[in-house]
Amino acid sequence: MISFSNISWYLASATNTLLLFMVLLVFVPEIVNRFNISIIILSSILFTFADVVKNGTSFVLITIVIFYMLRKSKRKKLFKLSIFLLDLLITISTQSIASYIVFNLLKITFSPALIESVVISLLISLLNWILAIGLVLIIRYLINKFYISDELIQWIILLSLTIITASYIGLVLTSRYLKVQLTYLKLTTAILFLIIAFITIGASFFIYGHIKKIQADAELKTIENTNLYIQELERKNEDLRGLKHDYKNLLLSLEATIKDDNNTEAIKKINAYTSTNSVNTKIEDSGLYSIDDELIRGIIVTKLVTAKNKNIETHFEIADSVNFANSNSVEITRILGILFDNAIEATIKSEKPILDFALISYDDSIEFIIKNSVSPNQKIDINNIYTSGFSTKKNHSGLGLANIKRIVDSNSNYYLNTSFKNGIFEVILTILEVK
Amino acid sequence: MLLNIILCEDDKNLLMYYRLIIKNYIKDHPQYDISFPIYSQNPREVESYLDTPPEGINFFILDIEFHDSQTRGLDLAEKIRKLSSIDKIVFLTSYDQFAKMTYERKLQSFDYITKDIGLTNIEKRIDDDLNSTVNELLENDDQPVKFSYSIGPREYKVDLDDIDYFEASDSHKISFHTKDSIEQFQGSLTALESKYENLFRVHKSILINPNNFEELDKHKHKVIFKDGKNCDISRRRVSALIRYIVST
Repeated sequence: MISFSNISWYLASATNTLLLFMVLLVFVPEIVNRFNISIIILSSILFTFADVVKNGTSFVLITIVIFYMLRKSKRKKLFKLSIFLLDLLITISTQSIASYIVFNLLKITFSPALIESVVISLLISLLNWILAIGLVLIIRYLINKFYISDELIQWIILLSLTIITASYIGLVLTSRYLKVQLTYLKLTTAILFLIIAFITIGASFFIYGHIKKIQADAELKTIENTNLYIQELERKNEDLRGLKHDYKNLLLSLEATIKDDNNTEAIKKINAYTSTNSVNTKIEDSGLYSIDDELIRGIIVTKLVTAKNKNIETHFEIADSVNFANSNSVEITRILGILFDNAIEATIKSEKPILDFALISYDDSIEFIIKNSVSPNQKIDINNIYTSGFSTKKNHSGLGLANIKRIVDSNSNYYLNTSFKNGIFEVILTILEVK
Repeated sequence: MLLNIILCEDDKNLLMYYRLIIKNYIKDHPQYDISFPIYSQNPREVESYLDTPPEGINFFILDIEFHDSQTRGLDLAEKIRKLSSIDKIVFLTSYDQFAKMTYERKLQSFDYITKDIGLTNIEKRIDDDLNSTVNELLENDDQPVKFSYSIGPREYKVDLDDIDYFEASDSHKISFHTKDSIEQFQGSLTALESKYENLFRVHKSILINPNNFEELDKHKHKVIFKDGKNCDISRRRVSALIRYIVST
């Protein structure tokens, strides 16, 4: 005769198996079809009885069915394995939590002989399902939001899942074997959460670090590509310049020839043509990317871009192979930053904003020249320009230039040359090589 | 005063055209002593001219790229600058990768004319450059005292009377102040004082050029110069400066 306790046990087992399959379907929706659904329902019922024959058989059978169903999914094996483990973990842990709630929190006692046991069983299953569905929804949301295609990270997740699941199953089986399952339910659940918490935190840190590394690598790659692109552009520029040079010479030579014949019409035409923009468009070649000091290159490129964005006419000359080996690039960058900022600020107020820069290399020294046009009504008292508190700007502390003076004064190999002639403000910073 | 003009341009038509500009200039200014020893398509000829330079100031008009030659105008200019710091160099070229500021600073080139501006404008620029050179040479016949200073191994020159005062920044660095510039160089005030006796010490770190002295502000302890610039004077040196100014 079938006792109520047996019925409740079968019911619980069947709903559990069904839940296991359902969770799987939520994570791998592409395997949902009529055939698989039929298999799921059939197995849920049949496997329950398999355990009657020999305890544990159902688990093996379920595993086989799951992987049979998953074989058609095109996802990575890694993913399938992780999902399987996750599925197990979710269903087993929610089952524990549900039992814990029913027995310990609601203080319901279990009496195998009564029909109540069937009700309790159903109650636990219901709770189990609710908890599992909630958990699955959260996890699915997290997966969709933070899906990482990096293989290493997927392995780490799989490993964490394996450890958690295995330790949990181990825990449950041990307590079942020692017939203390109900007594230690609370403890097992607590241990489970501790394990999950530790592994999740550990794995998260590792994954975070690894993601940073991936991002850094990607950034490096982009920079590399940009540099390649710039080199290519500079090479093209070079070709174009050569062509333009020959062409201009030819035109001019032609003009000189015709001048002898007094063919004024032709001269006019050529003259008009040589002075049009199509021939005179300036091809900028800054050679900026040949600067090997990244700080110094950085400040020059940044300020050049700033000036261009403000529609300032720029002319930059960069010597090839400048040796910055013994220079203090932090100090140089600070000085250049202040000088560029002042120059840009001053020149945008002038009628024709111009910013010129040259980096000159000598055998034993380097020189930076920064020149800018200044508005004609702007007065610059060159006498006091480097005095602290002096500024040509209103409401401005003038600390910038005083800072430059401080840096230059504290380095016996730095020389500063400042001039303001014919509406052009010019600063030359010479840095001698220290022997 | 003697001015020698040297012209080097590899395009024959242009060479002839520039030659005409210079010939006209010489014809229009018979009062100056100008010779035109070389016009050539070949930079080698300019090099051999440099081996035995005649008397006078040289005025070079150089293209930067020469088609059939290894020598570049820039190499030539460097050689010229090594031989003389007062010769004038004008680049006349369509080479627009030219680092104008760099060579102005490195070679102290006098002018840089781009060929895009057209023949008429080129003619005008050459005339202007020759005029200002001639004017400078005429002025220099008065022989103003030059002050030479160095930054590293490179030497620069400036008229001493453009300088208002010298100020020591630290033990090895001095800056001089002119009407429109401040320049730093290596040196010590003591060495300057003994080399240029005319300079007068008004402060432990300041030497002034009395030729540019305008007045003394006794209240603020400032020396004021002809161009309106000023510098500090120490209390103890006030009476000495007054005596010095009165005596000269």
